[in-house]
Amino acid sequence: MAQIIKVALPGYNASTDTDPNHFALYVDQSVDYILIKEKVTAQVSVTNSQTIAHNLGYVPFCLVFVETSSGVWRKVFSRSIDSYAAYFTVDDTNLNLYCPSATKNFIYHIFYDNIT
Amino acid sequence: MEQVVKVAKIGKSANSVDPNDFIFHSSYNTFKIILEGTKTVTLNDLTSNQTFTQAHNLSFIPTVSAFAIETPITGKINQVFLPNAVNINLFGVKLGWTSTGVKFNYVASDINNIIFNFDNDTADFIDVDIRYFVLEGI
Repeated sequence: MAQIIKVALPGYNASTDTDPNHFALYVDQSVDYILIKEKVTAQVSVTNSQTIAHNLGYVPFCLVFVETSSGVWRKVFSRSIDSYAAYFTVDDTNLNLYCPSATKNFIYHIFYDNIT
Repeated sequence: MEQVVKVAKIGKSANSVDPNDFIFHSSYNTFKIILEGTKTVTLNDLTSNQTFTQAHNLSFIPTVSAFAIETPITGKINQVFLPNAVNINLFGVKLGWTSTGVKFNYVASDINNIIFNFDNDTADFIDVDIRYFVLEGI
């Protein structure tokens, strides 16, 4: 028998509602609703490149942001179209942050979730 | 003693030490969606670097993810495209690709707003629907 834990958002009935979007927490063992599990988050200043070791042995889900101007944070991808070319790569050992044309603050989140 | 609530995936042991074996594990922070919403913007013709803002009314700078789709028009490809990407409408291994002329440059956030930025290389005004998810503080 599947183990179920559900916590409905205000206004929804946890007993009868089946829409995962109506729940703060919805786990039923059958579907992984990408409740991504955070390993570490940190801020670093990057000039050219910076390697962050995660040593998980697989490629984890990551979110990376760069401070484009004071207090403004832009989501970074693996291919950049920005003038200072901020981007990142991730493998089974490291998260690599790149900023070859400027020194910028990065914030990264590494999750336990294996994306491979 | 630490109290733990965890739900293992079907076929996995609740005693596993691999976080990937769990749908939920209270020892790990699960990124929470604080709010989500949609916004429709109209891109001016032949204009790059068009910025639109949406107030988030939070007391912190949030993590934001966003997805865009050009307002469906019969005969056009209606697909979601991400920041840092153009809206590709034709691709061939040898031909390469072409786009609709709309580029979602970036999504960003500050203490007050979510910020969306687009290019429109076409000679038409283009409506774009954006769905955004606002997560925990960055």
